[in-house]
Amino acid sequence: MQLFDTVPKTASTPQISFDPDGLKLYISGESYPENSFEFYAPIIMWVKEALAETAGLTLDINISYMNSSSTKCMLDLLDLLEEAHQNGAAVSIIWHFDKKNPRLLDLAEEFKEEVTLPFTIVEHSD
Amino acid sequence: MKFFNSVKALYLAVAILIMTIGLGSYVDIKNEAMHARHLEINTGLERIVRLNHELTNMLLISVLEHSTLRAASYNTVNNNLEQTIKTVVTLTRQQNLNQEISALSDGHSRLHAIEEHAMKLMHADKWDESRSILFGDTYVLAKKTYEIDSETAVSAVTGELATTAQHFRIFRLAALALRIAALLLLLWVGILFSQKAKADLEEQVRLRHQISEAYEELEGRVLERTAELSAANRMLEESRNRIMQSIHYARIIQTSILPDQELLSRCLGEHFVLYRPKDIVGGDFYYMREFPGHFLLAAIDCTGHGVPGAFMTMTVNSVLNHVVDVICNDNPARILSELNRVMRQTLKFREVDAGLDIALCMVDRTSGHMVFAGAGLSLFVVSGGAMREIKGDHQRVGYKVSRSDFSFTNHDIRTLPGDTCYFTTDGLLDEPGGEKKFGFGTERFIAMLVANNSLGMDEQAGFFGRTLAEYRGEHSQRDDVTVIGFRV
Repeated sequence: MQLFDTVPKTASTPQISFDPDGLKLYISGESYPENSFEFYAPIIMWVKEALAETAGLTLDINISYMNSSSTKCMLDLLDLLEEAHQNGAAVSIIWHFDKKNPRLLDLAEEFKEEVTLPFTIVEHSD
Repeated sequence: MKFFNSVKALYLAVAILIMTIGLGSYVDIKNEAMHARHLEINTGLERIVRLNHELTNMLLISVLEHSTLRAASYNTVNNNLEQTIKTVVTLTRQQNLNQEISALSDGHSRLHAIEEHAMKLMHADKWDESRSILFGDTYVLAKKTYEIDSETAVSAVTGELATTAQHFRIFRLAALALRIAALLLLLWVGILFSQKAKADLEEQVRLRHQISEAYEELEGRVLERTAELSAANRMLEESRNRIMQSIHYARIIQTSILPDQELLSRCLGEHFVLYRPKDIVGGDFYYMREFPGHFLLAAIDCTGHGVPGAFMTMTVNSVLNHVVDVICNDNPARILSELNRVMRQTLKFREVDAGLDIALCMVDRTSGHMVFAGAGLSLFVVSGGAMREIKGDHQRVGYKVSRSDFSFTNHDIRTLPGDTCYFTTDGLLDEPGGEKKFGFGTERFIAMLVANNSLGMDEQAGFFGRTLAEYRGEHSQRDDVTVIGFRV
């Protein structure tokens, strides 16, 4: 599997990093880039290649805000994972949200409806 | 010569000066003392010669006059003479005059022996014998020898005085020479110091000149850079101004698709519109069409904000108008389906994907009957202090994944007079606030609607605007905000 260079967090884009041992792709922060498709294109490309080479991948998402075009990109990622899931790959999604930020629960539930792969929603309250 | 060495030379010169002054004073004092002693010795010697003569004369007269009375004071004078000799011996002890003085002393002893013998003879009235002694060769010879010795002693003293004086003169000359040397040394050091001071001054002037040159160069460079920066800033400013002018003009165009106040008031009655694009133009817009028996009202959130969002609104507005004018104007679900279909035909996105969320309602103007259909957005109705949220379908409009054959859902809405209805796009619900920038949220929005339901619609708009600004605090707006409210 090829290396993934961590994408640092900015005010309008999340940090994205990969743990090759746990086969986990972490996405955390806020996501409202001026051009979401440009921002997510390399990530989607990498996931596509990763899924072709490995038997498993977990998407660990901890997002506090996502604009609608980012949502579209996330759906594209979900489609890739769903396809791999249909082909028998061990893919899953863990979605973290804060109790005080219920809109992200709504979003997670909407995403969960779209797929049949294991999708865990984890509530945090601190 | 180095400065350090010239300081050494200065110390040396001062030391020599102090030393020579000390030496000179010492020599002067010594010289004076020597002179005084020599004077005393000379006086002593003269006195010895004089007293000797007196003794001899005393005896000669006695023997010639045959009177011992004439020599009555012999012993007194002789004592005086011996005392003087002792004094001279003491005084000359430090000088090289021992030989002369002891010769003098011996001479006196010899004379004295002869004279005493002559005196004894006189007292024994042997005048002739005494006379032959005093006028005899022995005495005369001794006398002569004694006189010569006296003169020798005097000249020896004088000679020594001269020698000493000569030594002292040499000392003084040496001291003078040293003093001159020291002064010359001082002069030389002074010259060195002044040369060094001059060199220092010149170096200072040179350094100052260098510094001022460097400063001028730096200042020149700063000016140059400032000019460059100013030019760059001017260019940026001009560029920004052009862009802003362009966007402000775009806003005028975008605003032209929005329904005017008169139409809104005619159809909705008491109402408000909170329309706040994140940037000057945005992806949100609201839509109103009036027909003889009914009207359509929609809040629409196109993908993106700013200029790309605004492009989307223009397109969506045209497509929606086309659907409403040509296909259907009274069935919200059908309108959404058609909008979805035509949008997907109109926009052939390759690299990107874009669409819209919409809340659309049709209101029958005679019965007040309302039909709502939504794609991603809800209708909120406050009735008798309670809130109902009627959610639209999850299916969005116009995206690649939006199925062309999707059937949207119509909701029949029963309202009572005085009920209030609201549409909001995501913008308000996602407004960041608090430490973690969590969205304003649906719960907070609903609570706000319920709590302020008794207020006039205009007042509600003002209150919502202020609440939102307060919640956002220091954070900046994340998305376009559109809220529409009206009272049935």
